[in-house]
Amino acid sequence: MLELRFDIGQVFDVRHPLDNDFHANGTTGSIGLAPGERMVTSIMVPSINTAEISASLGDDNFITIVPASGFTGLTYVDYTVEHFEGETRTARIFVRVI
Amino acid sequence: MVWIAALTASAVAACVPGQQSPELARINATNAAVREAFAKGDVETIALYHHKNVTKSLGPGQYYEGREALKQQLTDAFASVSLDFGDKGEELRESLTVCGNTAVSIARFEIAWTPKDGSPGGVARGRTMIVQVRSNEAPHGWVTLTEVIQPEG
Repeated sequence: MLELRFDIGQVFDVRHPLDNDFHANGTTGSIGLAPGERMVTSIMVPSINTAEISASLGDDNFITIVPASGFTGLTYVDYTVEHFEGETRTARIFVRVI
Repeated sequence: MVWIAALTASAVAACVPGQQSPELARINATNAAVREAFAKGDVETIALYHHKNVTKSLGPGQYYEGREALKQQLTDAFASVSLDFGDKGEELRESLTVCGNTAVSIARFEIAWTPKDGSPGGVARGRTMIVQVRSNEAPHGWVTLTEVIQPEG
């Protein structure tokens, strides 16, 4: 099970509070970000977390998160979103592996 | 007697200087994450790195028990000021000892405070002692259980 938290204030335009809806798909933990006015431009696993989790960004703007075998606990990845007006913001996805 | 002594010894976790601990990187990452969250005024993230029963003495008249009390204190603070520990990181740490699932550190601190109403701010300095314990509930696996601050001046 994945438990995810988005920091709304840092990433999503407060005029569109529903834009931070997401869903997890199956056991791989693929996260679908709602399409629209922004896109994910990069996903980064901090070096301190690479033994715990991996993540990649697909062409379809999906982030795929895969916990390392045997890891349980709370970890995170960082991603950057670009708004259609060109503004970029970086935020963190917390993932709890149980 | 030998048997009792052996039991006693096995119950006491070995203590090592922080630089020799395999947990050093995770403890440093914890501290960096807390500093980063302070700079953002991110109460929820700061709370992630604190034990639910955390106790904090921020000064002679400021004592808090529990994560919820800490969150309220931080929320109140961030409503009026921004706080930034700067970029000195672990340079200000004076000692770190890791004993099994417990880490005890003493560090100097410098925290810049900037009122959100535009009035002049300043830099608060002092020394802090932090007791951290292992936790599966926090990123990097460590949370603050107790902190005692000695404000300067």
